[in-house]
Amino acid sequence: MAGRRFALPNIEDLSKDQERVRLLPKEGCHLIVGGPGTGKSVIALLRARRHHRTGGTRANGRQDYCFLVYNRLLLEASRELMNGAVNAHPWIAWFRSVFQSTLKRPCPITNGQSFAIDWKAVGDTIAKATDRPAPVTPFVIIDEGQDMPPLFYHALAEFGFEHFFVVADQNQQITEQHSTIRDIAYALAIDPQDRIELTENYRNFYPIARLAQEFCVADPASPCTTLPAIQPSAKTPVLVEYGEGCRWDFEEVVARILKAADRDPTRLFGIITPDNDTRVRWLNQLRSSPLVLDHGHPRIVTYASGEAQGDLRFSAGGVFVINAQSAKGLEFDVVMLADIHCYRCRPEDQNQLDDMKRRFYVMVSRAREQVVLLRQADRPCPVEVILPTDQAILRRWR
Amino acid sequence: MSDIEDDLFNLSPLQTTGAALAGRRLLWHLPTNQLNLMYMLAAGLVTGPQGFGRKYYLDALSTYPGWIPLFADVIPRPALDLAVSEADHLRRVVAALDLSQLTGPVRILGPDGNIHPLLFPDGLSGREQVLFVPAPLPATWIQAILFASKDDRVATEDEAADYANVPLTAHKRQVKPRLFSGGAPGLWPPAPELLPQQDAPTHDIAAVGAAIGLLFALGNRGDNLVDAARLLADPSPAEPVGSVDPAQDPLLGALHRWASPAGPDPAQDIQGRLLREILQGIVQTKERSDADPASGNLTLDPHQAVLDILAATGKNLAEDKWQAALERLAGDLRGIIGLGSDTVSDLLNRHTKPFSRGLVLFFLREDCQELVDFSQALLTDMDFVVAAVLFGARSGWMGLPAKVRAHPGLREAASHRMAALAQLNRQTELDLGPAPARIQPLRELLGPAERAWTPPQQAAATTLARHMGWGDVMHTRISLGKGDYRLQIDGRGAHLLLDGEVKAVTTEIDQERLFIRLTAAAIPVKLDAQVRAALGRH
Repeated sequence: MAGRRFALPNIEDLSKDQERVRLLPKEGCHLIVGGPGTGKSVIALLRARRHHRTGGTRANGRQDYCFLVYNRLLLEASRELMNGAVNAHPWIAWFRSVFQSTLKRPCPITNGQSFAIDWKAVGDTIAKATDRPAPVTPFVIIDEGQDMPPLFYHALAEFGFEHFFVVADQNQQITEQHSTIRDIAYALAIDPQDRIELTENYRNFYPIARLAQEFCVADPASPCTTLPAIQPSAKTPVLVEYGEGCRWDFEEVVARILKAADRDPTRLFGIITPDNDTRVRWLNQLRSSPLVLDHGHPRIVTYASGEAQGDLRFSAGGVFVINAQSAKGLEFDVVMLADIHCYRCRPEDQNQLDDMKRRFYVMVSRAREQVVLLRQADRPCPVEVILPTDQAILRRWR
Repeated sequence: MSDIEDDLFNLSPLQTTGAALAGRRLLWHLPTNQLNLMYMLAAGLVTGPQGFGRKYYLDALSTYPGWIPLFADVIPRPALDLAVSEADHLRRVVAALDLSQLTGPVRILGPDGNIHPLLFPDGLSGREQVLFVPAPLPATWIQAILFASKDDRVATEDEAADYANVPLTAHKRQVKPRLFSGGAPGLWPPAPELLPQQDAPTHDIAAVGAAIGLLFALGNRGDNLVDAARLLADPSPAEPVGSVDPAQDPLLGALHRWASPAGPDPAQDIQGRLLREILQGIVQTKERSDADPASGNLTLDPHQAVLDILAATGKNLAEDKWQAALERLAGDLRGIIGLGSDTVSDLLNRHTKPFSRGLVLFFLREDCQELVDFSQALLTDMDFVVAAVLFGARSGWMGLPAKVRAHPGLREAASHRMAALAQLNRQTELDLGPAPARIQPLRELLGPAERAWTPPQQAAATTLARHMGWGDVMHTRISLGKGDYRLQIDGRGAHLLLDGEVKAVTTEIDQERLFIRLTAAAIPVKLDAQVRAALGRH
C-alpha cells in the first residue's frame, strides 16, 4: 500500500500571520490562539523541528525542548509527521517524569490512577521543596494547550520553566480540567492582550471551513475563523440519509466508502462515530464487505481508549474508525461523521446545543478535503437543529 | 548637484573596471526582504507584487508595480528600509541579478528625477544608478544573495530549510555589509506614476512551467510525452517543432497554443478547445482567489471550475451525442470526488479518450507527485500528457514536487521559459537571450526506439539496465571460433571449456524491452545522472 505523504509546507502555504508566529523569538512565552484548521499545530511542529535541527541538543545528548501533546494518538500523529525527529511526549507522562526527576519522589495521583494527577498535592509539594534543579528541557512547546489544567501551567512555572510556546483554542476544550486562554496567560505571566490570534484557515478546503464555521460558538477568547462569502464547490459537504425510502441502504453506503478508499489507496478516511456501539457496527461492516476492488481490501483500523491498540499509523492510507472523543487534533483527508442521529442533545437546552456545536466544529475540521455526514433516515436526529439548512453549505442526499 | 544626487548618480569605484568601463554594468541589485526573496526563488521568477499571490511584503518592487527596480552599487536607505517596514521579523537582503543575457527597452531614473527610456545594454553610459526592467525575470538570474551580516545569512538559511520549495542553497550567499550601509535617499523614492502600472499575476506562466516539469518527470513513459515537452518548451505558436507538427494532433496543437502568446484557434476541434478553456479556467480560479482579500489562504475549487466549463460547453453544443457525452463525463467526475460507485478500472474502461482520462486523473489525484507515481495498465502516454498540463495548471511551478524541480537544469530552463513567455504576452520587446538547453527525459536521449544506438547511447543503456537490474533487457554474447566445446559442471557452477582465446564477450541491450521497462520505472536521481554522463549530458 502506498504511503500518505506528510511534507513541509511550501512558502505560499503559510499566511503572513502564520509566518509571523513561525518566526517568533525562540525565547520567552508565546500564546497562540486559533480555531481548528488555522495551522497552529503545524506552526508548533515547525517550531519543534527548528529546535530539533538547530543546536537544540544539550551536552548530555538530550534535546533542549519538548513537544507536549494531549494523548497517545496525537503523539503517534506528531511523530509520523516529523519522521520521528521530534522530542514529543503525552503531557501527563512527561509531567510525572519531570516531577520525579526534579523532586526525587513520585508525582501525586488520585485513586491510584496514573493519569489522574493530584494537582493540589503537586502544588503543595513544589511549594515546600527548597532545592530544585533547573529544567533539563527549558523550551516547552504545547499543542492543544486548553486541555491541560491551569495548575499544570502553574507547576511548570514553579519548576523554573521560562520559555513556552502554547497553541490553544478555547472552542475545542474537551476535558473537565481545562484551561481558559486567560488561565494560561495568567499562569505564564503573558498579558492576555499579547496573545496572537490566527484567524485564517490553513488546513481545510473552503467548503469544510465554511461548514465548520456554522458550528463555531462565538467566544471572545477564541475567535472563529474568518471566511469569505459562500463559494461554489464540487466538494461541498453532504449529508447522506440511508435506509428506508432512500437510494442507499447501510451496505451500499459502506460499499461506496470502500470504493472511494480504493480509488485512492493513499488517502486516509476518518469515520467518526458517536459511541462505541456505532464504531463497532461500522468497523464490522467495513471489514466484512465481500467487495472486489482494484487494490484489494483497504486497511481498516480502529482506536478506542482502554482497548488493546494495534495499527495506529497515520502515514498509511485506508479507513480509520474512531469515536468522537478521540478525534481532536487528528487530521484526515476525508471525514465521515457516521450516524449523527445517535448524538444526544435537547434542542431547548442552549448549553447542550453549544456543546454539540463545539463537538461538530472539532470533528468537521479534522478533514483536509472532504466531509460527509451520514444518518439513518428512519430515526429521529436531535442534532438536526444545529445543521445548516443552506444547501450551498451542506448538501442533502437521500 | 546635491550631496544626495552625488551619491546616486556619480560613478562608483566598481564601475571603473571591466565591463563597466564600456558602460555595460551587468550585475544589478534588488533590495528586498528574506521572505519576498524566498518566495521569488520558489516561484522561479523575479516578479512584481501580483506574482506573490497573497503574500507580498512591501518593498521596492511596489514603486512601479510590474517594473523591477535595480540599483547599481549604492542602494538608498529608504529602499532598504521599505523592505522591512511591514513586520518585525523581516530582514534586509539584496539579490544581485546578472543581466548579461538581457537586451531590449528598459527605463532609467535620471538625475533630473524623471524616467527615461534606454536600450539595454547598448544605451548604458556607465553612470546609471537605477534601472526599471519589466517584470518578470528568471529567478535563476540571481547570481548571489547578499546579507548585511553573517547572523542574517544563517537565520535566513535556517528559515528557508522549513520550506519544501525554497531553493536558497542553489544560489551563492555572501555577506556584504557595505551594500546595506544605505546611500543617501537622493531621488528615491521617485515621484509616483512616472511609469504605467503593468503588474500582472503569474499563475498562467507558472502553469506552463509546471507542465514542462511534469512532462519531463513523466517523459520516460512514452513518445507523446516527449513530443509534448518539446512543444511546450517552444514559444512559437503552431509551428512544427522538430518532427512534431502540432497541427497534426488537435490536443497537442491546443497545448502548444495555450503555452504561447497565440490566442485560441477558431478551427480547433471541440476537445482541443475545451482543454484550453479548462486550463484557463483552472488558472483563473487561482487569480480570483488572490484578488479576493477576504479569501485568506483558501482557494476556489478547480474541480468546480472544470465542471462549470463542461456544463456551459455542453449547453452550447448542437450535437446531442456530444452533450450526452459531456454530461456522462461530468457525472463520473462528480462521483470520483464523492461517493461514486466506480473503481478506477471501471472509469478508465468507460472513458477511453485522452481528454476524458486526463480529467479522470485530475479528479482522482490532488498533487503532482501522486500523478508522477500513478500507474494503471489501461493508461496511455497521451492520457498522461493531458493530465500533466491539468495538474501543472492547478499546482503551478511552486507546487511541483521538490524532487522534480531539483533535477539539474530544469529550474533554469523553466524559469527562463516562464519569464520569456510573460515578456511575449506583455509585448515588452525584451529579449531574455537564448533559452537554456531543454532537459530531455532519458527516453528521448536514448531514442528513437527504431534507430540503432550510437556508442554513447549503447553505453548509457547498458549502465541503466545494469543498475536497474533489468536482466531481461541485457544479453551477453560470447563470440567463439569454430571448434568443439565442453560443458563442465562442478560445485562452483557450469563452465564452458574451449581451446584458445574467446574472441569477444559483449553485452547487448534489447532496445524494445528497455523502452518498455523505462515506461514504468522510477529511475533513481544518481543513476539518472550517471546515464546522462555516459551520454555526454551533464
